[in-house]
Amino acid sequence: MTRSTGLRIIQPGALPEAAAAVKVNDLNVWFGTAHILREIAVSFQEYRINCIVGPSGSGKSTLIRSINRMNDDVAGYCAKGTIHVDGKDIMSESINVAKLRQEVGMVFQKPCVFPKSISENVLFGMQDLKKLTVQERLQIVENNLKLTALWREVSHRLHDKAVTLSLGQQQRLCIARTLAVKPKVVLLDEPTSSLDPVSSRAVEELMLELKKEYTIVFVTHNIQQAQRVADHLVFMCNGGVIEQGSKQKLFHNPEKELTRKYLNEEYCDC
Amino acid sequence: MSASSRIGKGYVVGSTFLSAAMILVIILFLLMNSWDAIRQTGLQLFTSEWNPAQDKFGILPMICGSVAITAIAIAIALPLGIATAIFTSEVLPAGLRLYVKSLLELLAGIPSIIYGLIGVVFLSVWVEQAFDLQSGRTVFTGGLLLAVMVLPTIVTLSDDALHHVPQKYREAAKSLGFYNYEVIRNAVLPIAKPDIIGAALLGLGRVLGETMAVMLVVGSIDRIPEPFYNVFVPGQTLTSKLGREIAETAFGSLHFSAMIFMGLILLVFVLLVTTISLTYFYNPEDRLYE
Amino acid sequence: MSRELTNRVFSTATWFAAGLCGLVLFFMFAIITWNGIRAINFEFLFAASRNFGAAGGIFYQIIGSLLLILFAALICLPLALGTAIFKSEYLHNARVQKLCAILVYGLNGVPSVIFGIFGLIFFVNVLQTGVSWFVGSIILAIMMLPTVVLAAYHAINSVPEIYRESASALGLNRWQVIVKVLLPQATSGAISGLFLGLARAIGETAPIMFIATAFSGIDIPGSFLDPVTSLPTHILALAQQAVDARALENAWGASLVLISLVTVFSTLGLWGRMKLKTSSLR
Repeated sequence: MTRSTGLRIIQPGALPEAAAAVKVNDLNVWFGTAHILREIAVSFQEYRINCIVGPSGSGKSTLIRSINRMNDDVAGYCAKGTIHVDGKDIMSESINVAKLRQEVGMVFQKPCVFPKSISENVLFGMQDLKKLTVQERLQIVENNLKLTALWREVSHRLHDKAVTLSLGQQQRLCIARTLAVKPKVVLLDEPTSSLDPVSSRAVEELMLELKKEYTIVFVTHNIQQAQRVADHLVFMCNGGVIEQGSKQKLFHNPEKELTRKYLNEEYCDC
Repeated sequence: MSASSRIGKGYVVGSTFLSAAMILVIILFLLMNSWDAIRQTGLQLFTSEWNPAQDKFGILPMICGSVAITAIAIAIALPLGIATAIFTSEVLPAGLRLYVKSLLELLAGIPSIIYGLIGVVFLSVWVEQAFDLQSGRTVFTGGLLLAVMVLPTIVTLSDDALHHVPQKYREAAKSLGFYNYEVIRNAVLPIAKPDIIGAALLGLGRVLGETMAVMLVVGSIDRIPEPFYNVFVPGQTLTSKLGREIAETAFGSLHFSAMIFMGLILLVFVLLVTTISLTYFYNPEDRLYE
Repeated sequence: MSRELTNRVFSTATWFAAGLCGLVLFFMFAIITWNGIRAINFEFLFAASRNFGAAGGIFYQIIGSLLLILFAALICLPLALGTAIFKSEYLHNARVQKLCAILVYGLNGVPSVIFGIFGLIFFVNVLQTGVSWFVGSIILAIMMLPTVVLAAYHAINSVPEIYRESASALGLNRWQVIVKVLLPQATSGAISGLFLGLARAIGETAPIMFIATAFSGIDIPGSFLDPVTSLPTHILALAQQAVDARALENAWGASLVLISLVTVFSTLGLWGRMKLKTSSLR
């Protein structure tokens, strides 16, 4: 699989609606006494880029972190409702959270590489690493770095410390590390907010490539970015979902006045 | 420069000089006073017979005792301490952690003589009964007592080391589908490792230099046990020997000089360990990730 | 072994370790308090000891211990302040600074018995002072020097640069800046460090047992060159006659008193340190 690493103009393509991979129903979340998410009901579609937009503090991150239960260990966290991933209710007591997170990977706002080499970072999340030969490991590193368009930049220095990479490269390395675990759904929590514009573009392009094989749920507060990459759009405000639908519908034909105002970057009460 | 400025500068320079020179003065005095023993006894100092009446000053039994007690104490306190630190840092709710930390700080401050008292009254009696010994004052008792004594220090320092690992590493590891123990083993411990090694070495230095508690429970027999790994017999450490005997030794005699030589050896050991531990704590290379 | 099982085992092991650790430390605490409280009464605290410590109280031991650390504090504080000010205000050569840090903090690693031996050689024998409580104070002051220097140094460093600059801009010379701006801050930091140092010093036995204390027959020392009695050495002497139940009971009582003093000092020190941290954040 080869692809250019240079920037190209991203066409706002429109894909038809697809089956729901993640379905959230009547989700309420509290941190202590603060009611963060109110009666959320959304679905995220398979092999699409599902984009959650909204102002800061609207509960976007809390929602996305609920999908792989990253909030579980936060003090005072309490949730009610259901979230189905591939038909399984992941909120149930009997779910194995570690296995869930292997299926639903996550990339964070700030790139977080471990103080190890680049190849060790790619292999970091692999479970039965001891059973693999050196050759097989190298193959995995190469595949995933190619997938994230990093291979050309780092193939000659796989044993260098990962912290020597630029922030943009580190973020793509984090994505490669997540993909190596072979998840079905990839959650990205404002993955470009700490990157410069060129690196952000590289990550956006990467997402467009990834949606062929993965379901992507992506949080951003950058409306232009949503316009560039999203297929399905969810608009959140003050802990509730205001509107959801295809990108065309929300940008050109919104049902709610609030949606129109926010997406046109006009002043609104959000 | 005004007069007050000059006097002031003189004062600060003088006190700095005094403070910095102190350790050198201590080393110098130990060296000067052990010189007689080094010159007259030479390598005979590193033999295993100590008998001042016959001018035999072999300090090997004391060195062996110190090493044995330190090894026992660290072997017990380190695994227990690190496991407890994992509990306080990774499992315990943040609100409780503060109380536990203050309590540990308090326990770390209990004077060693009180540990000695507990050792004499309880621990040595228990060891005597549990292992059916003639006397409970053994090398093992000393090691066990020091393990308890150094435990709070190792727990707080390791807990700090673990707690300083930024939360993002735990989240990143968790999001890859790791179980809690895998998060700790693969993500947290490797990053905290230099600081934990530093904590262990600091504890080691403290155990090595501890006097009062050891002196009261170790049995004070200047012999290398037969066989040497038998820890259930009375022994002697560098510190307990110094604590017991130095006040009864005539200043200026060869005996006194040999005692001071032991002090010098002890100081060199401890300073070496402490210096190495400091390089672990403050190694900037290892902190590149922060 | 499956990963889930390993996780279970690991988590049980940490709980077990923490439980064991807590149990041991709780046991320590419990026996000291339990045995100590039974020994302590009004007479015990305010009477002189009799019959080699097996009877009577520990009044003069308490006084002796407090006297030792009071003078240790008086000797240590000015020395530590001077060192801290020099380190932060005059010393700019990185290499000398490092050397200075190694030498001063190196003292922290010196085993306590070595301080005792040094005092025995230098003061008792070379300077011919004999066994004297003042020598004990000097040695304890040296022992806690690194703690106090470090605390004062941190306090000075937390003074914002703008304070120094505005004071200089008013035409104050360097020493006046130090006295008017830095010294108040440094002193409060040094005092919280001092309490932590005192908490350690008051419990130390090894540095003073050869050079400053005698076991019995002593009340208030008449001059700087007399020995005193102190709590830790008293406990030591009593612990060595562990077969005598009365002596042992008094040893527990003295231990509890000693721990209470240690706790008071370390609480004051920690409280001061915390206060300093919050005020420098403001």
